[in-house]
Amino acid sequence: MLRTILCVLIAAPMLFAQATGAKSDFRKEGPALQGAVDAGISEVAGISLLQTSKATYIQEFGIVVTLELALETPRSPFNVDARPDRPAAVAERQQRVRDKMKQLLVQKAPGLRTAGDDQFVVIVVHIFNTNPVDRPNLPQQIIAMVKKSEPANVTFREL
Amino acid sequence: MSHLGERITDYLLDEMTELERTQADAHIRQCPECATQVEGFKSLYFRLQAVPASEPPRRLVFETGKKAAPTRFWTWLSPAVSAVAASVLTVIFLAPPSTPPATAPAPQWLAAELDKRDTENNNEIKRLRSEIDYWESQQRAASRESFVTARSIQLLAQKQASLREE
Repeated sequence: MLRTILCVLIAAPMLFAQATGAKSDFRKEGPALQGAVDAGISEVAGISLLQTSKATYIQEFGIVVTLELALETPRSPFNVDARPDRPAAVAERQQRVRDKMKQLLVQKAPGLRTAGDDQFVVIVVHIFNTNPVDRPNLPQQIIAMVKKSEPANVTFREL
Repeated sequence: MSHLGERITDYLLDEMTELERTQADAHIRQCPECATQVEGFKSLYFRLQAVPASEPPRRLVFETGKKAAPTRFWTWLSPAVSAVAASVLTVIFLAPPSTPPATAPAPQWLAAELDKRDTENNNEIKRLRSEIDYWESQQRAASRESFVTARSIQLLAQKQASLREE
């Protein structure tokens, strides 16, 4: 019993110090990461950034960055002739967003001190479907995830 | 028609229109003055034509841009001028360097005032940046709202259409 208490007493400050260090690192890295994600995703022509990115550090998991965008403008209800963009153009934009997410993760993840080597860096893009009648199968989220120690191995999920 | 005047060359070189030439011919027949002039010019023109063509000298064709050879005065003066310029430059380089005028330190009140203004300007820049951020977020929120409305309209219209079909 005494040994267990001793172990807890020794380990607790170490864990606490680690968490505090990660938090202070994240205070510096978080805004920079958010800015980089916003700037990178905004480079994709034709999209509208509806909510800028917000980065969160989840202990024992890693960093999660979320943002919301629309791949095209909605069809105007006041102009019957106005049609939404071609499906091919929207698909191309979606692919460009994916490429940009991958590029950001490959570039930024290895340099993040907040996340440990066995932790993850994730970018979640919420897609606002502006023309649901025309594109019923557009994904609502694109999730790109990478382990910090394996930055080249980016995995994608679409929901 | 009046006298040919300066148009006499046009007449001789056949640079008149048919009508002008007819009128000129009629005028020359009536006007002895113009007829004499035309004859004189015609004889001069044919004489010039008879002169054999000769090639212009090479110096005229290929050396027009070349500067004229220096005259004897400049030939003599040039070494003298060079010598004087060299002496002046030597004197300038060998002369002891003059001490630069000491710049008076900026008064303390001025430095303080400049610091104060810098701080004020930086604060103003920060304030304006945050204001821009705020308005950008407002703009984003507004466009999101309009997108939501447009989406709702589309879905409603779709539902209405499907109800009508039923």
